[in-house]
Amino acid sequence: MLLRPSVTDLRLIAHDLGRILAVVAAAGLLPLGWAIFRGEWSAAGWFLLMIGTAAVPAAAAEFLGWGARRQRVDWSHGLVVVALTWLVVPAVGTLPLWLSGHWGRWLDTFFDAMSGITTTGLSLVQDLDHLPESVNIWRHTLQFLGGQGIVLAALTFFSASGALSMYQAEGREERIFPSVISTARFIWLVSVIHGVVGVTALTVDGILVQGFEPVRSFFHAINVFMAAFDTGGFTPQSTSIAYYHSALYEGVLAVLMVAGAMSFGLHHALWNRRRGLLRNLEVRTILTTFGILLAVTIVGLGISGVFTHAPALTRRGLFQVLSAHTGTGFSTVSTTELSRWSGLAFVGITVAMALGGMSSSTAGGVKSLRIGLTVKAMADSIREALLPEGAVVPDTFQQYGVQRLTPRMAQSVMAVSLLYVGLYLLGAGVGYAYGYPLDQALFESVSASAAVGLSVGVTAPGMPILMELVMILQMWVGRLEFVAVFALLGFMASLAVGE
Amino acid sequence: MRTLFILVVASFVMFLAPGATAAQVVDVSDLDQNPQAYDGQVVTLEGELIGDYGIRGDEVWVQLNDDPYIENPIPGGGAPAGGNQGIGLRIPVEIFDPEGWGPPGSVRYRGPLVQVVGEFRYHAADASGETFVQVVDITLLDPARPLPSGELGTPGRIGIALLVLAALIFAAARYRARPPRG
Repeated sequence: MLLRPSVTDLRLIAHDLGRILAVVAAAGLLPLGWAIFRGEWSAAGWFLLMIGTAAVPAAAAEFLGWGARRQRVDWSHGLVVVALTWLVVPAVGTLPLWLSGHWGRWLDTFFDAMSGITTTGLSLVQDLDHLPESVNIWRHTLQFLGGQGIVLAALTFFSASGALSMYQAEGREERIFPSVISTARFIWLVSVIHGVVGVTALTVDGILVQGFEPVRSFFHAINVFMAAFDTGGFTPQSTSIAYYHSALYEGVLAVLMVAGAMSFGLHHALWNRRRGLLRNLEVRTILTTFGILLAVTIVGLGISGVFTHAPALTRRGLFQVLSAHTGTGFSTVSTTELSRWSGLAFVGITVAMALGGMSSSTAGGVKSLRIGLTVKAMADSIREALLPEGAVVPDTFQQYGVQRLTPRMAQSVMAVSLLYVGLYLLGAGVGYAYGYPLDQALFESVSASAAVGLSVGVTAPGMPILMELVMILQMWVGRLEFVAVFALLGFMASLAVGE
Repeated sequence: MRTLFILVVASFVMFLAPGATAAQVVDVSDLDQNPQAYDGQVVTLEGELIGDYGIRGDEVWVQLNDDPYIENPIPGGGAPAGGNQGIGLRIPVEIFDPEGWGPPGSVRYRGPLVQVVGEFRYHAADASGETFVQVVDITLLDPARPLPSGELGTPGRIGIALLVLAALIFAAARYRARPPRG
């Protein structure tokens, strides 16, 4: 029997959503400030409207005080807040995009806002090269908020009960410190330090190496930093990272992409100079898959004859595999050229996207820890079958110390991995039904579900509305790793038919 | 007279030069669709210089777009007509004329419209694998022109009103939540 949520439950959820909107309003100050600084007055008006739209319900939630006396906070409440947050924030975030006139229909702006907040990077923007700089900064700020975890941002500023469920519902499994609030603050500290170093390096490179004007160099740097560290993939120019024509710039971005795809637990371990990290199952898994897929892609490119020079092949292949495996979605080749990568190169990039980065990072996809645990569980089963009856197969693995792989954990990991496969196939089926070649439909579906953002041209203005809706769903469900979405569906069902 | 003589000789040389005379008029999409066929060929492109002038020693990198927005970008009142289409240009600094051309295209400017003649280089081995057009000649068709910067407008005024309302509600919430006196 389903229990109908009480009015208090609904008030608690509304109160938490209000606080999330306060974070959105605060984040809108960055593009607003840039619009004023650069004299983009129309855009300044759009951001004022967005900030005001977010601020009124945020203030109302405080006034009503619905969250002041929490009588009970259960696990599902946090999950529902997170699932709703990732719908409400893109809805509010579309305002400046829609008013700019650079998107064909409102759904396209919601697609881009969802793509931003989920750090996917697919885009339906038109005439990006004439887009106001402040709107570009907002697109990238959405990626930063989404990568960091917007609920995490709210937790950092507003200590809340139910914090643990909300933290984990955003796709983070490990707590670095006993307190979620302390963990959230550590994540922000890591991000700010990477931000200062990354933006400085990119700005200096832009001025000294690429010959950009200082303000424009800073503009590029802050945007691509947010997209790289949060494995987002938006760029301020239409030709993605190929715009910069610079191996050095790509090198800096590669470091930031890797840092973004690393779990914050690994960041913490590296900061504390802990030894033996290479024994960690997740580190070993991601190094292994990256090495294999890089080799597969480079061999594939070599066979295909797309490249005639080994250094060019290696540079492009390495960057694209890194971009795919970290879930970033930056590209140094055009969409048309990427669509010509066939055979092994296609397999290498697609599988890299599907696998994703590390758990508790800003990357999407199945994630390396699940891959490692799935392989271990299967290997253990085979060993048990081959060894004499009664022989003991160790069920432990290294992950910041010795952990035990319980049957329940193995089932959970495999279930989520299978759900991802189902999500990939869902989008591929819809794309194929609309007449796209199966390989292209699969590529785009994996890219959306695993929050990557590489495209072979299927995602384009004017794409079928149903397909656009399915891709929005894939981005939302894939980023939240299913659980929060299932909780929201259960909550809605209990609202409708509960007693 | 001396200037006229140089111009006549330069025109004659351009006319005789095999690259220039054989230059095929192409779109960026032609190069994108069939890059290996054009690799090493001299091509002629027309479009808008956009983004940034990246001045690197004796050469300048800039992007050339030849999409539907080169005449009428969206901030100038153009309608959405799909994505951008562009390619990098590498221009010798001797023929780079930012004062004459004006700023590259952005939200503030429709960039200069130019015709370029140059060699298409596809993943060039001597340029770290970059794909671009090595420009040998560039002709200004129309200099950059400013686009309207706009004003706060109705959205801005509504936004300010909402912010005032939010501030009042928040102040009321603080007032209500203050501890009782005594």
